[in-house]
Amino acid sequence: MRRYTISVNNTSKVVDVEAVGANLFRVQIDGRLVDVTLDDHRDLAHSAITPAVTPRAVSAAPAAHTASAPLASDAPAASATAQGAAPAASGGGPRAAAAAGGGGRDKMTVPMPGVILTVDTAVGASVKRGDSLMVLEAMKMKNELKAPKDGVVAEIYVAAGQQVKFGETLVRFEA
Amino acid sequence: MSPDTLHYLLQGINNVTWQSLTMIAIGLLLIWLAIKKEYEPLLLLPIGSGAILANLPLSPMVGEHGMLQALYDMGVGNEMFPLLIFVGIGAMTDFGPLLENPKMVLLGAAGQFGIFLTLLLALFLGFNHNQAASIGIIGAIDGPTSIYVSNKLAPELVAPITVAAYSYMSLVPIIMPPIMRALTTAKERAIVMPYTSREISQRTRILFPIIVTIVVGTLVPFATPLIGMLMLGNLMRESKVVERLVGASSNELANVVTLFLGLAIGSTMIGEKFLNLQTLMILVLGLIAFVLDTVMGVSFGKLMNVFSGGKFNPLIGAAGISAFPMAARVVQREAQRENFDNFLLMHAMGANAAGQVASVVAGGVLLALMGAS
Repeated sequence: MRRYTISVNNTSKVVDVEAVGANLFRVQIDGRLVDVTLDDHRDLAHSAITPAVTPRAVSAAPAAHTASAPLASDAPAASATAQGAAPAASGGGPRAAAAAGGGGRDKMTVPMPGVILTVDTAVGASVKRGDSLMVLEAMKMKNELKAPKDGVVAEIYVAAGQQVKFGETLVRFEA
Repeated sequence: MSPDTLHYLLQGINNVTWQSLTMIAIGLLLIWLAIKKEYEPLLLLPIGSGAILANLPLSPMVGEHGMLQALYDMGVGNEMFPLLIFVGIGAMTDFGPLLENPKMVLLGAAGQFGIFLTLLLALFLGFNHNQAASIGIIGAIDGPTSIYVSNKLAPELVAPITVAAYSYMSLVPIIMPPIMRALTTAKERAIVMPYTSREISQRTRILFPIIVTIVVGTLVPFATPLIGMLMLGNLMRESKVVERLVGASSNELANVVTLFLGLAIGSTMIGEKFLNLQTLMILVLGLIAFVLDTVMGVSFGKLMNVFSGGKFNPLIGAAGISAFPMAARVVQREAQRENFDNFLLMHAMGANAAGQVASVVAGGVLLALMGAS
């Protein structure tokens, strides 16, 4: 567990972040417990996402935003949405906005470490839930990775032959 | 031309017996299974060929200076071949998933229950103690362990036991799924268990084989040869400094020994000794051992599910056997039938690696129980 003391609007808050899984964190903000899923897991140094914290001190929404600040320092990623909490659209960039709209499943992540053998889809292809998108070889077994939802492939982040780590984003969808 | 000459020329045909013809047919069947069905082809093809070569009339391959007999004396009679294969298996096995998830050891232990249940059943059917134990070891679902143990306890049964063990091992993807489905509900099979990534340091990976060898070797001395060779291979793999030895053990050594072992085992399938009720019973008991392993594994998985408050997918229990990595793959496939988003492979690999170690230990325990020397 890591403890962060951050200032939001000149009020200092204590945020405890406990990593439950590779992309699931239990965050405690001033005694409030929130489960936070990390949606993006890429190196976003070049992108414009900033862990923006908007002064909107109502409901659980700020919880999600304050959480994204410490997470940014913890992992090379920036956007986070709180499960159950109503995510506000100001998280930064289109990714967080899409996550808010698509119930947090607008992307497919790596389920276990391995090597991408083939990529059987292309940007712009419309896919249905259950369509096989790529083949991941893990422990010498070929595993089909299937689309978690209907949508259009907006971005593919990996190529065949690439080694991938758990939690990495493979594909981003657009509804 | 005297009648004697004719006799000498035709003595091959004259010595054909119905047993040898049957054994040649069985050899052909094994070869067919290997080529057409790809059931453990690396072993069944040499075994089938060995059986045919040994059963040809007056075969010079067997008997005092026959090549197959020489191979048998070189490595099966003294249990050297299975042990050498273990070096290769150790060099090929990644114990990482088990180290990430040490509680899987329990499932590895549960997967061995079939051994002891089958042993009791075999005793009940009239086999003597040593034979019953050798038949039970089929339940370890581990070829080299089966050969090693049965050769020590009941050398006359090595051939049928080996054939049973390897045939059923290749049938893992066919035998296990119906049992797994029968024992679990769709809801249980759909339990999602996220991958928990935990970095295992190289120090841990190196210490693991050393500590296991010393602990198991001290507790179960009879398992020392098996565990010692398995862990030697693994130590070489994890040390990262003897890549050449790792390559040699997992490729050249394992392949050469597999060929020798298969031929030698096949050559013991002599018609007069192989074709009897005993062999048939061993084949049936082997299958039962296999089924019992799966049943016990899944049941134990269900128990772990209860203790974990419904978070543990009982299918993983079926992977607690030694058939590495087929069993884990079957689990993965079954879980994905229910929910394609569920990746249990790494958990199942953990249980599977535990099963590998546990079957060796079980073999040692069995030898100790039987008071082998």
